Amino acid sequence: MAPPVEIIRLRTTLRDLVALSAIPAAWVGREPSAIAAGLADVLVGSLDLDFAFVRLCDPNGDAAVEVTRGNAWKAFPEWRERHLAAAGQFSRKEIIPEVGGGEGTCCGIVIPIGINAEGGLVAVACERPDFPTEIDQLLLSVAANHAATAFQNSRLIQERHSAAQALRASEQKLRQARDELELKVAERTAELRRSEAYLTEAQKLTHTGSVGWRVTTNQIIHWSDECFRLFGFEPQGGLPSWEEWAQRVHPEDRDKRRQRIERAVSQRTGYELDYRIILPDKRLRHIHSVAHPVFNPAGEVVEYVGIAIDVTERKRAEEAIRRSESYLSEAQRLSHTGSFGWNVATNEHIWSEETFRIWGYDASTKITLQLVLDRIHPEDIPRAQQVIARAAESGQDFDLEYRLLLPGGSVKHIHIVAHAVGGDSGNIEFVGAAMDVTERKRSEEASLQLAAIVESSSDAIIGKTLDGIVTSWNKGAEQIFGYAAAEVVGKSVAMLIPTDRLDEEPRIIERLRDGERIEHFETVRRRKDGQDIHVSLNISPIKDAMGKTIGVSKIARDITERKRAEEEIRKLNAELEQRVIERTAQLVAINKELEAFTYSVSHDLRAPVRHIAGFTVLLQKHSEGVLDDTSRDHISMILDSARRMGALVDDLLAYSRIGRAETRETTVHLEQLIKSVVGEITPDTQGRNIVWRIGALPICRGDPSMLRLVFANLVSNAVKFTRTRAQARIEIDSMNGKPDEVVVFVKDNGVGFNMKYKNKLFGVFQRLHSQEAFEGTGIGLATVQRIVHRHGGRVWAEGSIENGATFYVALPKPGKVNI
Amino acid sequence: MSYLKRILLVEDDPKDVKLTLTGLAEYNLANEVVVARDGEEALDYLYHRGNHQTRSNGNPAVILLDLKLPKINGFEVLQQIRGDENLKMIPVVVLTSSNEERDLAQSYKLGINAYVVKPVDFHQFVNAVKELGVFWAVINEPPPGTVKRT
Repeated sequence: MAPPVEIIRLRTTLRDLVALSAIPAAWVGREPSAIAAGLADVLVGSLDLDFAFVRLCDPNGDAAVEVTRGNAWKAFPEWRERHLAAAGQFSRKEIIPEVGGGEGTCCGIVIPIGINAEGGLVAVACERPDFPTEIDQLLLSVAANHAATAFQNSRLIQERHSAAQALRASEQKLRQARDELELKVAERTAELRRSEAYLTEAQKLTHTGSVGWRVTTNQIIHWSDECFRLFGFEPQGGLPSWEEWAQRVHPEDRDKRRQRIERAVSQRTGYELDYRIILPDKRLRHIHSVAHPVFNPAGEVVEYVGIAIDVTERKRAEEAIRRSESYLSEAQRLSHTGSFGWNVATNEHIWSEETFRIWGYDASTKITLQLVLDRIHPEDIPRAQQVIARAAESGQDFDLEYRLLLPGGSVKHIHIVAHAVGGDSGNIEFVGAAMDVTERKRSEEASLQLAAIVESSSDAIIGKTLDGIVTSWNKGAEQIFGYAAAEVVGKSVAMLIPTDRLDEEPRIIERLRDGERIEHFETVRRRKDGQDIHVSLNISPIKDAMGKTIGVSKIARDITERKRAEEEIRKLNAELEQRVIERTAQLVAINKELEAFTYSVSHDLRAPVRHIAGFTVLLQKHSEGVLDDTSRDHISMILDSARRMGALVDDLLAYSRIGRAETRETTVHLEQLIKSVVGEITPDTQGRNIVWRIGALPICRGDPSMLRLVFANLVSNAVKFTRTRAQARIEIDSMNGKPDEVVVFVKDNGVGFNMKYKNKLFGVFQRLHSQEAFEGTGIGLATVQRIVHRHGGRVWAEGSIENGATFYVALPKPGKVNI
Repeated sequence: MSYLKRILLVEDDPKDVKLTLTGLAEYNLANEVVVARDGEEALDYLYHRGNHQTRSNGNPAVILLDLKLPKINGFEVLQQIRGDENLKMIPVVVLTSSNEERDLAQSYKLGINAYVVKPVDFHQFVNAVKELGVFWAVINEPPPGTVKRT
């Protein structure tokens, strides 16, 4: 049995429904147009429709999508026009029985999507007679709802898609913006790097380092490359500490720098400061530093930023300029050359220190032409004024010498050299030099004077080169050598030298080259007339300013006359010498004879005396009792004479020996010597009353044993000649004499002598008393005198009869010798 | 005393000899004195020559020598004595009139034992000679080779 139609339809409908239900899945993600088209196609195809129109509306109000399939409902657009106007009322499906426009009868149906067709609408037409069945209507509704859902989905997807797209786009934009930013950052960074490099380079070139530090902690927070170099730190070592930095500062500048910084910090100001640093390699560097404070919002100083500039070169340059200025000034002072500038029109004068000094004005004086003229010597003013006026008018260089008369009356010779600059009339300016040539003038005058002296000298004064070429020849030379200057100058001096003495000249030159002067060199030179003359030469090297010998000055004196006199003297001397030799020989012979005589006396004269005495004694012994008193008296006379004779011989021999004896000269302490003499004599004065007074006695120079003899004689004389006094007083003391002698005297209160005979006192055998009164040989004082004279001394006596005598002996002081 | 007090007096002046002997006689020394009148005779005695060829052996205890002598003077005699191995030890006393320094110096240089200046005063002279004789011939112990008492 065939299934009932209804069931078949139901089946078909279900199938179609399933098919339709599958549609939305296919539509997911589709475009609204594709959805609409798909729906239309499904409706036409699946439901066998002849016309389908699908309109899908975007709930967001976007444009609706419309799709038409088939043309069975030709009048649909008009219809739609009509109905759509009342779209708002189009709220339910509408079946239109006669759609018109087609071949046959065609029924149409319009189904809204959503309430009031907000989602659009589906309109279909079909020629099938049963159209629209309920199933058709159901299917159409489902399809339309699906389509609406799909459309909504599609819209959502679309929106999502758009949103994603928009996101992507904006992402893209962002990325681009970031890239651009990065590029800009890179560019900016490069720019910064460049500028930093420039800065570093600039710091390097200007020797300027930059530095920053935190005030509270004294921590360095910025330290440029140049700072490392400036202060001699290794960049690898990192930023130096505050202390390390301070350590570089020259010890003498440390306090100054520290105080300056502390003051700036306390006053919250910047500062500027110069100090020196010592680098690790001991080099010195001058630093100029400038720093500014950095404040925090509270207005407190937190940091300082600053720069440090190496001003060593500048300092050096400044020093060099200062030095060069002082050199210039010193040079002007030393050369006595002042400089000046003179603007004629403005009468403005610019003077250097030395110019002020030359004119004797204070350096603060404002100089005018009048002041310049005031100092010029009155005699020179007219000439100077004339030259200056002409120069001022013509603008021409000028050169002028005049004298200054200074307030003290001293005169200076000034040489002015002025050079005109500028030139357009009315604005003439001179710059020039004023030289104090006083010294030069004086030396010129002195030279002239010297030249006159040389010319008028009667000595020959000759100048020559070291090669012996004559360069100058004075009048004296003309007279002595007979050549005129013109005959000699430029020729060799050899023409004056006798041929046998030609080798003298090179020897002289050799000594002169060594800087030696040759004085009083006596030799022989030949005159023009061939006559040889004796000359005494004084030859000196002539030296240039550097001390180099460049020539020779020679002064020759004609000593022919003197030579002759000398020769005469020499002859006389020789004769004299001969005579002296002869006389000496005679004297020697005489002396020898005398010596032999003395010797003989010594031996032979004493023997007979001794024999006389000896045999007389023997005779006396043998004749005892035989001879009478007279004879015995005679015998004792003989004995007495013999003894006296013996004493005489002995004294005489002693006296003569003084002249011949060798002397030993030394320092003699007279006090010691005289006390010893007195001590020796004292035993012989038994029974006498003698008061001795011996003062402080000096030391002298002499032969002690001889001087002993002197004082032994004087003291024994004093003892002897006071014999008649109840109390003898003998005084020995010293007194002042000539500067180089000492004087000792021996004074007694004895019998004295008549001053009439004072010159006889010291003669040999001279006696002032009888032998009976005072025994003696008369040789003692002669011996005294002889010894004292041999010492270069003096002896003298004072006295009067019965009033004592004083004997004075003057002897040389120690150090003065001559015995 | 095992030695002869022999004294050789060398003196040319007979007066001096006499005075000297007078002095020595006071101490009984005169008999021991041999007198030589000059230097030559003195040397003859010392060397057993001439008149003294036969004299007994031995040297004198002392020689009293004058300087100024005929023929050979005192210095020459002295030089001879001091240069001779057998004689050089004999004491020699110069007995002279002179006190010239150069005589003194030369005498001592030649090695004398004493130097005596004859005093002019007789008593002093006699005393001097006496003392000389006593010292050299009696007190002094003479060197080996001196004449021995037999």
